[in-house]
Amino acid sequence: MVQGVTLARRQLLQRSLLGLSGMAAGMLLAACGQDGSSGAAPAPASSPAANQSLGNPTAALATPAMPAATTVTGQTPTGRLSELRVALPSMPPQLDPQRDWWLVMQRVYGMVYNQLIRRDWSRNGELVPGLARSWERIDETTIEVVLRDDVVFHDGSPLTAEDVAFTFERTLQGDPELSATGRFPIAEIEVLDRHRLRFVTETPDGAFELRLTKHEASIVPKAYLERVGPQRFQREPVGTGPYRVVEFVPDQRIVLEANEQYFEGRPAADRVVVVAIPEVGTRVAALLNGEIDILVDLPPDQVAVVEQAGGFRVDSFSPLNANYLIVNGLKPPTDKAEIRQALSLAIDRQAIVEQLFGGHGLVPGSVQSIFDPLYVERPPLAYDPERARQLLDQAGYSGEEITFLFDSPTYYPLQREWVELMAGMWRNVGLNVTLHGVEVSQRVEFQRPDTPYHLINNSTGVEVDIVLYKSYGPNSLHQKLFPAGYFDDFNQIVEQARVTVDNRERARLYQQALDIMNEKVMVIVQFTINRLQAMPEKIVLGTDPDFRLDLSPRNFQVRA
Amino acid sequence: MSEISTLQGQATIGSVQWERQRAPRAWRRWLRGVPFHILASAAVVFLLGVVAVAAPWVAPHDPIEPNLLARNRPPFWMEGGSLDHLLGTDQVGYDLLSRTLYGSRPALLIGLCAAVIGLVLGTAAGVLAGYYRGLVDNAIMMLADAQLSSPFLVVAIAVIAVLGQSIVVLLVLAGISAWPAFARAVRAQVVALRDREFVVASRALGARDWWLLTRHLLPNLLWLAIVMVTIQLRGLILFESFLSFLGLGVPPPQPSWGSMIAAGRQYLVTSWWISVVPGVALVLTVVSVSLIGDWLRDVLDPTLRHR
Amino acid sequence: MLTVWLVVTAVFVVLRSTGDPVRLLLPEDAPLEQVEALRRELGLDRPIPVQYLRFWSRAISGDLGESLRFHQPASELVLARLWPTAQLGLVAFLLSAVSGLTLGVVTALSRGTAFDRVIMAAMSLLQASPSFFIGIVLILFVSVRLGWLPSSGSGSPRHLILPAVTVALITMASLARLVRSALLEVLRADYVRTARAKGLAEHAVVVRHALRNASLPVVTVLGLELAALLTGTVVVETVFAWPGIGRLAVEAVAVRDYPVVQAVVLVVTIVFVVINFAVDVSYILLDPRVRHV
Repeated sequence: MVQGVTLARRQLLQRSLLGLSGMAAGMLLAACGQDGSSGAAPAPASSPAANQSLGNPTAALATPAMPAATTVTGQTPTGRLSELRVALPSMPPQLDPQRDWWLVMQRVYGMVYNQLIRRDWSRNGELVPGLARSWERIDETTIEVVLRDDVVFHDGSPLTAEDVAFTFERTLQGDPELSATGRFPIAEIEVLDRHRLRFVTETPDGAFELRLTKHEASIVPKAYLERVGPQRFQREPVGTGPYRVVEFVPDQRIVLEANEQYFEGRPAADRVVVVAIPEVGTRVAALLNGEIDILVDLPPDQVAVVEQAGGFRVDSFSPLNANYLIVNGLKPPTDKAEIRQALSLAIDRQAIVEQLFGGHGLVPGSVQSIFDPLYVERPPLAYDPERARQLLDQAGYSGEEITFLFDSPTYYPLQREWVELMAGMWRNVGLNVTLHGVEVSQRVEFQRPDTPYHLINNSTGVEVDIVLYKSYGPNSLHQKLFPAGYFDDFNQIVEQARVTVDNRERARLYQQALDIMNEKVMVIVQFTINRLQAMPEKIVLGTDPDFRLDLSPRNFQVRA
Repeated sequence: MSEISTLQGQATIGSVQWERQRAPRAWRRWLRGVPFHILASAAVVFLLGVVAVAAPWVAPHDPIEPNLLARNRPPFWMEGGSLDHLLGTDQVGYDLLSRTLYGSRPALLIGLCAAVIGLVLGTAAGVLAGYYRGLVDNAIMMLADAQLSSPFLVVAIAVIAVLGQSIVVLLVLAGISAWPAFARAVRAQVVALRDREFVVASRALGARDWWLLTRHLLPNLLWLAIVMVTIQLRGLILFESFLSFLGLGVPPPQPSWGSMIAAGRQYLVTSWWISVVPGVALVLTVVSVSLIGDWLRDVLDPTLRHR
Repeated sequence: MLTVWLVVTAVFVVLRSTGDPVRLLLPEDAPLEQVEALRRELGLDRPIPVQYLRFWSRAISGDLGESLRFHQPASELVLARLWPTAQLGLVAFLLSAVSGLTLGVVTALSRGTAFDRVIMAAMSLLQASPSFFIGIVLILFVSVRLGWLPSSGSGSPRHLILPAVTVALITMASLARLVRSALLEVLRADYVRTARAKGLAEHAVVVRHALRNASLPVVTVLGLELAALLTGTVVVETVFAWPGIGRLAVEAVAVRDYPVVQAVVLVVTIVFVVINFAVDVSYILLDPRVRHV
């Protein structure tokens, strides 16, 4: 364990990230693009050649230093738990996966639901079959999916193509209460037979397979949902996942029982109890006290406390999420590119990641995550206070106030601290940035084109396929905060990339778009902060950058 | 929050006790036989005032200058501590001594502003209610009751959510939180005073209401206000610390004791000094002020003075 | 009743003057049409006075609206959370009342001794400590170091002890100081001296004369404390993950879950009013002078 930590630390200094789980060696193997986790428990049969999965552009394009998340090795998983207690920072208010997907819900979705395709984090996030046995692109806009025929929902009904079609049709009906509305560019769904169906997309969509791995693509049972109605379904959900919900007390606890018929095998704990402990100190105390088994969202500065206690494992992994600042390019002085560049150059991201986060994070080269299937390595965003001062001189900056809106209370661990650190760094190069803390609901309210603020903190998902057009594209807030036409070149590229099916070509185009984003400083990317989970050493839980608590037996085991 | 009610509760006590009181006549007697602990408390409060004003000259470091390379340093007497950061540093690398010194400013400001706002609003309301009685009295007291019956912290959170975090909002909120207690105490006092001989006599001599109020009643209320402030200060400073706990206190990076204690709570195991250093300052201040308050009350309380 | 109306109205106006739950309910990049559609569906696009009238016309029939976050009736949520808070509040109240009274009486009777000084200093210290600090120290010590009690959660009496003690400690401190000074004052009163002069035993003097007369201010404070305990445990509920009404309110404000906030405020204010009434009644019982007025 200790060795693992040291090794990980050293790696972190080399600007990569690692799990802390003491399996560094295995991870390095995985990082080299090989299948490091030999014999991960009942792994689904390797996809048939027919699967035109996203290929593996990552392996091809990324550097060998590609880090990986913690994975579960194939040790004899003989142990069992009668009850697994999981502590989250807050409780999911409801469990309909198409309704909302705040992070807290995603954790529980990972226990209750499956998607057609999943990303195998033990293999660099490669796309592998989930509920689908295989999938195939018939032409540029048509994807045919063949379902497994051995999957049953928690209510006993078998999974059929009708359920899948129903799931996606829900998102096409324009229901404003469903967050998933409009998430899938589907023109038509055609059920071929009981276990086969075809999706026809509106335009060629190279990212469709990736979209099928996301939470909003969790498959729900048609008959059950129609019978009980969406209101009851939120609290009495039925999915195909390793655990079924048996009790849902809003804001207090969710009790789940093992799904004995789970298609990937019998889960390692008979019961799961999910509770919320909002206060970090209390959450840590509960873990040390043996009151909970899995602690989610351990702040990096609490690692020492947990490690000091002994007998616990801390997994640190990079999430599909980046923190960044929305930039107002309409309001002086941030309407000048030099000032925006200076703001970015003045931040010593590396120091913040290393010192404040204890190395549990990384400095990205753009808004793109290292776990993006289309990831291409770039140098980390630069820190150059000298250059920042020069740019400020060039721009004729003379201390005009720059207002920075951020969340308070904060959601991210140490956010207040890093905001204060950044403010100090900006002061150092002569930038006059004032901090304005507001509650998140208020902050979101200020995210509008006529916002009175210059900088607003935000975070985002980071797969270019999913965000570059939708969140940063022509209709996005980010562009409305700049003069019309300022990002025409960017828009041209992302419009083209959107309808490009070839992964390599799409990856290349998106890199060009990212270059423009960086150069014009559409947003100021800060860093990716690792997520940490802590548990007693006997529990082995693979990490999931997409925020699931994946409790299927291939990912969650108990040592005897 | 229970602290906040305590603050209201004590105020009520104030009114209960004040009801039977007469005006203090012996200010001179104060200085005679002032007990030692009161002198010490007064010294602490005086020092606090000096520090608040002179913080820029006294503090060894810039309180909002983080130092990433000197995080979580212990105070100088512990292993790893240094004389450069006498009382250690916090999780961002701020110098705790400097921040604690600067932190006296919001504490004092909140106390003073709440006192002034509470005093003005509360006294006005209390005097009006106590002097005119009847409908005015009912209306004002109902407003006061309404506020005392509302979950004020929830309202405060909503207000901060609406107006954003700022020290001004905080000060006004603290002031508003204080007014019903002032109003109740003042009203009780006015009711007791208005029928006293000197007031009745003045009125008989044809004095106007306004003249009566300013000449006879207000001066008699001043000392009551002083006592009320000393009693309420504790609740007000703690109020700020609760808001900080919820992430809604004094906006960063400006230091306040409440936010420092709240921020350090996660490090009690590894770096206890982060919240203990400002905590000691807070406790010292609060205890000193309330000791003085208690003593003032005892001294000014005529029922006790004659014994 | 007027009080209830005032408070609920004030909160209604403050809450709606800014902040919008809809933006938080949808993904950040949701198209504007979807935001508008949801706003319409939830009735949040109407003018505030219209929303206000709608709220009251429904509230009268017991419908406080549906939580935007939980998608279930707000009244159900609030009532479910009322009991845990009441539990916590009542236990803490009893603890603090008993210990506060005892300490107050004991210190008053031993006024000036070292014991009195130490206890009073400790009370001052407690009074000046933020409750979250006391709570976390208790967790670290009692639950992590000693392993005696669970650190958080609810479900058994053992879970209740630490949060209740945390709340009680602070209330106890102010109560003890209050009882002490009230009692000291009464003990100097003429009728107590008379009682002593009559040759009554000291404990009889204290119990029959002094305590009874010192009880008036104490009851006032107890009433206020009880009311505050029922609602004001926000911070302690957060520290101990206690599923109470205070935490519900704070979380609801944060995401602008209007119906829940309104329901909490309504219920809490009614509870306050009832308690205030009870305090007034106990005045009458305790103080014959009030009875004759």
